[in-house]
Amino acid sequence: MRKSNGKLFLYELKKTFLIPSLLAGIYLLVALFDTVVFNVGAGAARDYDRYSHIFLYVFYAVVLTLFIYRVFTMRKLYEKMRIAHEKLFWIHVLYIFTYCFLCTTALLLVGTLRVYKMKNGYYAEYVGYARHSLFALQGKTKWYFLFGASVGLTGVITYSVAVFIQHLFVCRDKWYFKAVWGCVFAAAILSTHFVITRTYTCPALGNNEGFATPLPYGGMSYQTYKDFFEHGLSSPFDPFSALLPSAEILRCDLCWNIANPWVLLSGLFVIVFAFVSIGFLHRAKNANYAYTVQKEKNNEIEN
Amino acid sequence: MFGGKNIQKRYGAREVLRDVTFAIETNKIVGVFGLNGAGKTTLLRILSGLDGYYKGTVYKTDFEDVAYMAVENMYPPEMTVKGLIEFCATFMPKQDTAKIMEQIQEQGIKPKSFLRNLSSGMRQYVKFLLTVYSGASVCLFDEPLTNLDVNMRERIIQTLISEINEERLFIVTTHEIKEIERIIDGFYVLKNGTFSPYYECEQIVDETGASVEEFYKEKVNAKE
Repeated sequence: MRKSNGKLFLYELKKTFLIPSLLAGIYLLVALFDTVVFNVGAGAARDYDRYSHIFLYVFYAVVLTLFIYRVFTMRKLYEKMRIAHEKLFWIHVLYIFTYCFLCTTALLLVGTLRVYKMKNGYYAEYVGYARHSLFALQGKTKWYFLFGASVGLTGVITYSVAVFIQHLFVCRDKWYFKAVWGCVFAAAILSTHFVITRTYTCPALGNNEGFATPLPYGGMSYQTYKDFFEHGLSSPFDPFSALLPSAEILRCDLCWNIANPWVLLSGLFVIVFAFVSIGFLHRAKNANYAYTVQKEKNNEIEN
Repeated sequence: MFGGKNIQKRYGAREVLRDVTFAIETNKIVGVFGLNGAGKTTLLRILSGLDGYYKGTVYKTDFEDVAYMAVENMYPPEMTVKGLIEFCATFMPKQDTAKIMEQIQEQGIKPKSFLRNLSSGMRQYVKFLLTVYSGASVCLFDEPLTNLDVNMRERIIQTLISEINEERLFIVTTHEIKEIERIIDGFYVLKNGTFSPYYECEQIVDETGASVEEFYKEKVNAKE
């Protein structure tokens, strides 16, 4: 059993490593080259923030698509090799988390280097910029390094939901079963969302602590951001006095405030719920198997 | 010894396997025959370990691994033949990859072809090769002759004969009894969720004068 775990681990690594590492490698090398060779002012640093923001979404989409596609195409083959769906689920969870974590952290480190260079070259701009930069550690809380882990967790949750839906549709023919189980799962996600929207005051992820919705809606102006805190919540940070009013603040909606135990727990709850559901669905599917195979055989004969 | 004791399987209210008990030794090709819906595929899934929800015991003393050729298509159409062979080699370390490559090339199947571009007969043949050359000591074949032309059927039958040895056991379920009867050592009839006694082919032909297919028809249609 342990032997097949290792083989599965290595096989999945071999098949999923290339695309994300090429994608991230090319972008990061170009960014690093740009950082080292050219001067970095506030404009250049902000551009890096914007492009990296977009790049992170692209990377996230590619990684998620890759893994969901693999489950979709390889599910039966792994079943034939007597590898449990749950085992594949955990290995994919591990890889998605790792890829997202590494990519975000690498973007963060290159950004930090850029801001560091700016500090040495354009100190006046640095003062106004550092705190609201998305991909830089300067001017943030000590928890900001969890940014990568937070994106990783979002990836894992999205994957769990997608794989759960996939297994739900594969395993059961009866529409009411899909509907009932789907509603139960939707309730779990909504309650998680509820927990997150009620706990965003915790000062964990620098300027991303206001994150509450799972859908991206682009950049937010400083004024909107300021109003949001002044009228809605009490900001744990200073009032951004050094920022220019026109400065754009990018909010990364792939980011969860995972330094908050409640948010972290509810995120993990969705993942565990998906895992348990997959096991349950396949147990139920087994009771239905003879019918499915006989139907396939009959179709083949008819054809 | 490979076998099962009191294997029971139920699909909701329907009892498919009531009490299957058997024991087979190595170096044999054994048939499992039965009408549609008798539970042959279910039994093979249980024996292969694909279905873990049953009552009873499956035991495999002296057998390291079990390979299963499923009747349903479990291979992703987006995969190439070579990719599939590599995948199986990862999880079946004793697989004879060189032999599989040689055989598929003899049949004119290109290793870089996508599985979706192969005919159903070709796919069936690839499935068969992956099972028979898996290196597993017990190979379970569910309807291996379906969808195949006469030449391919003959090839499969010849491969089964050449690959059986003292360390291996092949179990075949099929409705093409006439074609398989010349290579099997014996068979079970699966009826009403239970196994018949083990019938030795040679003994049946000698004692009754009937062919295996005639004998099977008589047994399966007999009223109890």
